[in-house]
Amino acid sequence: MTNAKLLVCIISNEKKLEDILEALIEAGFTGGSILDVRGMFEYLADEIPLFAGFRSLIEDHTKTNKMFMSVMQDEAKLRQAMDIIENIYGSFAETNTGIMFSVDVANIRGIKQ
Amino acid sequence: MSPKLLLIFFIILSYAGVFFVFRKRSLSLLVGMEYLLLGFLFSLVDIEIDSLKPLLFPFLGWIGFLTGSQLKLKYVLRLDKKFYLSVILFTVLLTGTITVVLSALLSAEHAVLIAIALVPISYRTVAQFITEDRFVLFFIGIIPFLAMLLLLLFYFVRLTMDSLLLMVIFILVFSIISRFILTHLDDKKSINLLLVGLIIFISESCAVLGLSSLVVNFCVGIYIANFCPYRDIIFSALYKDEKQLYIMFLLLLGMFAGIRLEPAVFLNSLLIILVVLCCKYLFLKITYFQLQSHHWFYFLAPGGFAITLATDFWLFEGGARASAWFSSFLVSVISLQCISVLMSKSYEV
Repeated sequence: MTNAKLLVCIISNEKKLEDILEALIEAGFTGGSILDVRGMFEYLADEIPLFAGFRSLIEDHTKTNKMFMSVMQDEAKLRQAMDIIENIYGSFAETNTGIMFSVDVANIRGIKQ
Repeated sequence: MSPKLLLIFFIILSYAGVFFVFRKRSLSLLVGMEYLLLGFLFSLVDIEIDSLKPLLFPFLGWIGFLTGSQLKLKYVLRLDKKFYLSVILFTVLLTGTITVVLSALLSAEHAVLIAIALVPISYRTVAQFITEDRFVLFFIGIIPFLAMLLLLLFYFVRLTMDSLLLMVIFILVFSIISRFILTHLDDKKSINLLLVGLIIFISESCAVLGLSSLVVNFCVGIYIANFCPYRDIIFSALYKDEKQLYIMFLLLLGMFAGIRLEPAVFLNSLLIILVVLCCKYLFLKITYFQLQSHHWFYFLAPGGFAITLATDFWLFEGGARASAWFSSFLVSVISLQCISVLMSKSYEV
């Protein structure tokens, strides 16, 4: 088992993603991946409308949440990154804002120092 | 058991049964036509239900309101003028052509109305097959609004001057009152409850005064979409249960409208189907409209708007049970929807 942690952060307000990434880079966190993901209810609710086709086109119901993943060297770095994200994005306590968590990383290959 | 209680039992049973058979909240590609057929079956049971017909008006009102509440001017003005020109030409010319041909079969009034109702193309059906081409999806998405405007024009010609003025006053007064009341509420639950109340009140008032519930609510919806600060909450509330409400509407419509089981009705249906098939085929092949890159069967399904537009006029006329023209129309819509889906599916394979 390594000391590394995998930080997973899913945000529903993608407008803040760029600010979060810039702040992380400024603090020295340079590695990470971004994926488009969809919430469970968002997926279930995504039905083609009967009468509201025009509005669904205009508002583009295919919008996705953004998932940011990054391997942190240790617990201290992880907490620092989480604080930076929360400072910019705001609290995750509200419903439909997103989620942030970490998991221990057992083995790593390819991490850049 | 009283006949009306029996009827309510039938509705609940059928709704639950069909819900179970189709196993999901979503509608099939037939956009609920199976529920209409079920309604026809109930109409064959000999129960006096004409006194319950006012139940249909709020459904039409809700569809009108939902349709109107999508029309935010800032969205509408974003689209290209050439695009609008091609959609308007498509809608108007296709309506005109179908009307001219159908006039040989039906009265001029019914020919115009069936033409207006059969020009819209089911967005839900098309979007299942064509997912990436946004030009086509926008094209399909705009047609129902134009059909609604054509229906409004049709009523302008059809109504007496007094009724016309009454309708205009109704639209203005209800728009202003609805906006005023909805703006002074600040929680979602109150807005939703009030919205339901408003739609029922507007629709039933229209029914009593012999006005179109669909058109009046459509216009009120447009006003709300552009001038009410809670427009998005209102739209979400209207949109949230669209499938369940539409299913109930189709069940009730099938039951109240009934179907005339006469050879002449089915012959007329067949002719309407042929006319629509030929006219749509020709129009979809015209390169100017830029729809020919997809298989033309995708665009054949009339969908929910067709039924809604024609139902509004059927009720406006008095809503006679098993009316010949309306029976022919409903059979044509169900058949066109089935043809479109079956052909599109086989084409996909």
